[in-house]
Order: sequence, then C-alpha cells, then structure tokens
Amino acid sequence: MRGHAWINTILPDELIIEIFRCLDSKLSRDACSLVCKRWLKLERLSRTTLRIGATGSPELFVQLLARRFVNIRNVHIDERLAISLPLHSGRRRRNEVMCLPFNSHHATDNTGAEGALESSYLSDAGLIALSVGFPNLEKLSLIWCSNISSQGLTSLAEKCRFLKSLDLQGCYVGDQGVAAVGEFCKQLEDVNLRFCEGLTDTGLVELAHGCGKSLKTFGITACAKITDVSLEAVGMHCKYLESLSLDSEIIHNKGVLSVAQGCPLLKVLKLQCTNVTDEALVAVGSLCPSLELLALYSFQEFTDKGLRAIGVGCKKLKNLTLSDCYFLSDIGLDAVAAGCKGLTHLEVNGCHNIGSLGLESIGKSCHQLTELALLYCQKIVNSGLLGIGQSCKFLQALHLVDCSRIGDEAICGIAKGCRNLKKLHIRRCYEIGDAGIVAIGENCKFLTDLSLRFCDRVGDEGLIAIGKGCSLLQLNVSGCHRIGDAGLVAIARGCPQLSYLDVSVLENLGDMAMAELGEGCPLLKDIVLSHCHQITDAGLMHLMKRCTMLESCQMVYCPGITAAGVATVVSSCPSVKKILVEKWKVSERTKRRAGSVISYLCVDL
Amino acid sequence: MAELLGPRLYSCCNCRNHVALHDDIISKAFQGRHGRAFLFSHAMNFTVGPKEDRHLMTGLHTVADVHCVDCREVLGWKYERAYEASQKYKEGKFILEKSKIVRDNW
Repeated sequence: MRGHAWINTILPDELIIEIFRCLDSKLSRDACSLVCKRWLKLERLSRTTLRIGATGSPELFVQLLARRFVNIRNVHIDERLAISLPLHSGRRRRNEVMCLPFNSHHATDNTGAEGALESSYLSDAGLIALSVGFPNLEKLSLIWCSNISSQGLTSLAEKCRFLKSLDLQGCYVGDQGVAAVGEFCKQLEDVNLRFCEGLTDTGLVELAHGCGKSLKTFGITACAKITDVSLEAVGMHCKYLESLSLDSEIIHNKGVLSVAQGCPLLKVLKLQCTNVTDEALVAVGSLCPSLELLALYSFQEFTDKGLRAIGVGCKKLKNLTLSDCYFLSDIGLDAVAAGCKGLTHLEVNGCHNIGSLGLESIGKSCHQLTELALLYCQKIVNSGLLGIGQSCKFLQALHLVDCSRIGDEAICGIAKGCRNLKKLHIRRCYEIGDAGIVAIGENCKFLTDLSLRFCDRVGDEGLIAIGKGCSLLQLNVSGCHRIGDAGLVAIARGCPQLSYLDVSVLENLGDMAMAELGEGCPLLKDIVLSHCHQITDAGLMHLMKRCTMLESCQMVYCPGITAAGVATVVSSCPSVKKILVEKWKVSERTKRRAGSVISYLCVDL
Repeated sequence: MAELLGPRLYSCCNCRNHVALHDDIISKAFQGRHGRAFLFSHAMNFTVGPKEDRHLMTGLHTVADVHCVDCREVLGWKYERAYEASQKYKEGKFILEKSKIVRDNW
C-alpha cells in the first residue's frame, strides 16, 4: 500500500533488532542507521562489536561509545592503527568504528596533569571507563596499548566478570593485573599473551589457578620471562585445556610434559621452542589421544622418534605442520601416515631430509587429505605426488614452492586423481610446464584459485586449457615469461567470474590482452600490472571501460603507462581504494581527485 | 582485510619479491658496485652465488653475490668472511644496492 510505512507500524523492536543482527557489514549497518530515528536507536542496540585504533582522547571516546552502544560484547583496541581522518567513504573498512581526532584541548581538560601527547594512548583511566561502560564485556583485545598497567586491568577484571576471551599483545601489564583476571573472571576461556614482557611466572600461575576450570585456549608467545613453572601450573589446574601455543626459548621439556600430563583434552598444540626435544613429543603422543592439530616450527631438535610417538598415540590427528625441522625424515612421516589415517591437512616446510617415500606413505594411508603444502622440499620427486594423486580424491588445495624436482608427470597425476581441486599454487618449480597445466585444465573443473609464479616453462598453451576448463576467481601468473596475449585472452574469454588478477613481470603481455580482459572480466576487483613493459595507456583504458568494480591496481615499472593512464583509472573506477604507481606519473589534478587512494613507489631511499 | 600495519618492506626492483625489512638496516652509508648501498642484518627470499674473494674499499673480503630468488637479478652481496679485525662485524650481513631495491608504501 503506497505511502504507509508498514515496517515501522507492525514490526516490534525485538524483531527489527534480530534482523539487524543478520547484517554482516558495517556499510549495511550504517545504511540502516540512516533510515529513521527508530532504526538508528535499534541499530545501536544491536551492535555487539567495536574496533578502535589509537585516538586523540581514548577515555572520552570510550565513554561516548559506551553511552551510544549499550549492548557491546566484543571490544578490539589496536593502538598500532593511527588516527585516520575521514576523507573518502571508500576508505572505510568493514566493522570498524571511524576514529575521529579530538581536539587537544578536550584531552587536557579531563586528564589534568597529563600532557596532550600522553593522552593519545589508552591509559588505565581509559580501561576503567571501558569496564564501567561495558560491564557485560565478553571479548577484549588490547593490542600494543603501551600505556595500560596492572591497575587498569585489575579494575577491568573486577567489573567485567563475564569476560570469556582476553588478548594482550605488546601491553606492559604486570603480574597483579593478570592475577586479578584469574581471581575475578571465572568464565575466561581464551587467553592470548604476546610480547607481554612485564609478566612473570607469578602472575601466570595465579591466572591458571583462578581460571583453571574454564580455560580452553592458551597462548604464550614472545613473553620473555615465562618459564616451565607457568606451564606446570597450567598442567595442574587447567584440566579442560584444548589449545596451547608456545613460542619461547626458555621453556623446556618439563613444562610441556606437565601440560601433556595434566590436560588430557588437548586438541591443538603449536610449539616453537628450541629447547624442547623428543621427550616432550613422546609424552604428548602417549598422553594426548584427542590431539587434532600439531605444528612444530623452526630448528627444533625433534627427530623421527618423537614423530613416531605421535603417529602411535594421536589417532585423531587431522592437521600436521612441520616447519624447518631438519632432523625429521621419511621414517617419521611414514609413522604418522600409518597411525593418523584421518589426516586432512599436511604442511612440510623446509624439512630438508623428508623425501618422496614419506609422501607416498601419506598417499597410501590418508585418503581424507584435503590440503597439502610442500615448501622448499628439494628432495621430493614425482613419485611422491603421484602417490597422492592416486588415492587422495578429496584434495582441494595444493601448494608447491621451490620443489625443483617435481615436474609435469606429477601434476598430471594430481590432475587426473584429484578432481575436486579448488586451489593450486605453484612457485618456482622449474620442471613444471604446459603439459601439467593442460592436464589441470582438462580435469579439475572446480578450480577457482590458480597461482603459477616464476614457473619458466609454463606458457600460453597451459592457460588456454585453463580458460576452457576452469571458471577461475583468482589468477596469478607473475613472472611466467612465456605467457603472452594468447594465454590471457583465453582466460578473459573463459573466466568471466575472475576477480583477482596478477600478471606482473610479464614482458610479452600487451594491450590486446588488456582489451579482452576488459570485455570478458567485468567483475575484476584487484589487478597487478607492475613490470609489464608492453602495456600502455590504450590497453589500460580498454580494461577500465568495463571493469568498474575495480578496487585496487598496482602498476609500477610500466614504461608504457603515463599520467593520462593513471588519471583514467581514477576517473573510471568509483570504487577504487588503492593505486600503486610512481609519484611522477600522478598529475596535480589526479592528486586532488584521488588523494588518499594513491600510494607511491619509493625509489628514493 | 589486509594488515593495516605491515612491516616496511624492500622489494626487488625487477619483480615484486620482498627481500628485506627496513628494521634490519644497519647502515645506509655503504658503497656498492653501482653507487650507494645499505647494510642489512637480514635478507629474505634470495639465493647466494659462489663465494669469491674481492678487494673492496675496506680491504680483502670473501663475499657471495645475492640474487633475487624469483627473477635472479643480482641485488648485492653477502659478507662471508672479513680478514681485518675492524671489518669482522660485517660477517653474515648483506649489502643491497640502492639502485636494485625499492620500497612500496603499499
């Protein structure tokens, strides 16, 4: 019925709030706020998350936010993010509250003795304001809030008793603050401590003791003073712990053993501790039967013995990452394959002693594999991947970097066997050429994300097959210098859904391909053209004619592109958010029109 | 959403490979083959060529050329050994030529 606002007459407040809760982007929420006063009020009631950067006067800002949004449950304060002046609506990021710079006289009014500069960072007073304003806070992240201390955290803990998740990164809080959290926040489930250099075992022991019954996730990374003592407390009190992340040089086997003994429900374990050895892994293997994710990083002393213990004991393992573990070999991987038949994710990164035999075993036993990443694996040859291709029918993502001995034969095997492949990323694998890529194009109909970077032998023929067979969303062919117009034209004609394209460092790519891309891929959002010597303003113009949804464009080191071309990009694409170009290619007029959108290449170091 | 605050990175001038962090610069006052160069404590995504003995302005050194891992462009060199006590601090560090690296404020 014309002229009658049914929605506001019939729908009650609660229903409208429920509808607003389904809105996923800040843009949608803002749009709804502007409809009428009632919707403004209701939208504010339904807002649950706030993200704040460094503001001019954080205490005032927090108080303002607390008055305006009363149902906030999650607050993220990241003080690495500087104050940003509202220039373009296009600059707004999702789900973020715009930080308005307050005038300095506001700051000095309320903070008294503190200078205007001091009050730029959240202080204890600000944290107290936060706790008073949002007593029902459930999740809190304080990232590099260098001005807060135990005092503020203690007040927060006393008032926000429903706190479920606490993330402290780069905050110099002391033991009393963390101990207070342990005393008052009995529903705390997730704690993440990173670069908390003021914390010692004393505080952490109190935290473990206080929140032991509720704690599920615990992360201690780069906290220089935390030792095994804290982990022993975790092992003693946190019976329900499911996830532990450790990055420390002063944690030893004793600490990890305590956790393994005390936390039988452990599902996720990430270790980057150079002084932890097989003894700890053996303990995890025998005491943590629920383990689902294990990640071992960097230069640790683990050998096959430890990995074998995991294979024997952790039958539910789904996700395994081995990064820079020099002493691990095929024997260890074989043991994991035999024992962990439910493995879905495997990453082998820089483990120079792991070869094809281990991978063949994985192929034989782990038929549920969905993601495989082999980075810097110089020892692995075709037979390893052929094994995967034969049995892992559910493989969705394959990632290869610097595997110089893997060639077309392996890729053909993967193509024919893993028809559900969605994502294929290959970088610097010089033995892989057109034959392999053609096989992918012919067999992997569900491929949406393809990246072939600096693969010398891949050319147009491969891309033509991909264009015919796969409807790509993302394509990166940076540095594959055999690729020219013919290949990209085929992509333009075959992949109309393409939204991300990187054709940088391609010396044979010219304007014809750009024109075809403009015709064929109107949904392009991000494009990288840097280091393409044959692309000129003409090609750029044809591209921009129809790609009106473009959001980002990188075009440095393109001698054929001039100031005119840059101006075209700015004027044709209303949604553009970022352009990377040489400073001298931006005319004064373009600078005025586009301003904050343009980023400059810095050669003048 | 991409990181709003990333580390300040230097890239190879020839391709977009990231080779060094601004925070790893030790000195900006070095001389390379083609002009000014920077001394870095760390580099990444590079390969090293064979070791050679070279007479540099500061004396005899054993160096190895540093190539971008993607496009193999020579970006500078790595000091493997220095033969004078005053030059020992350079061992294990990298020279990257100013003309071979760029910084994009992306």
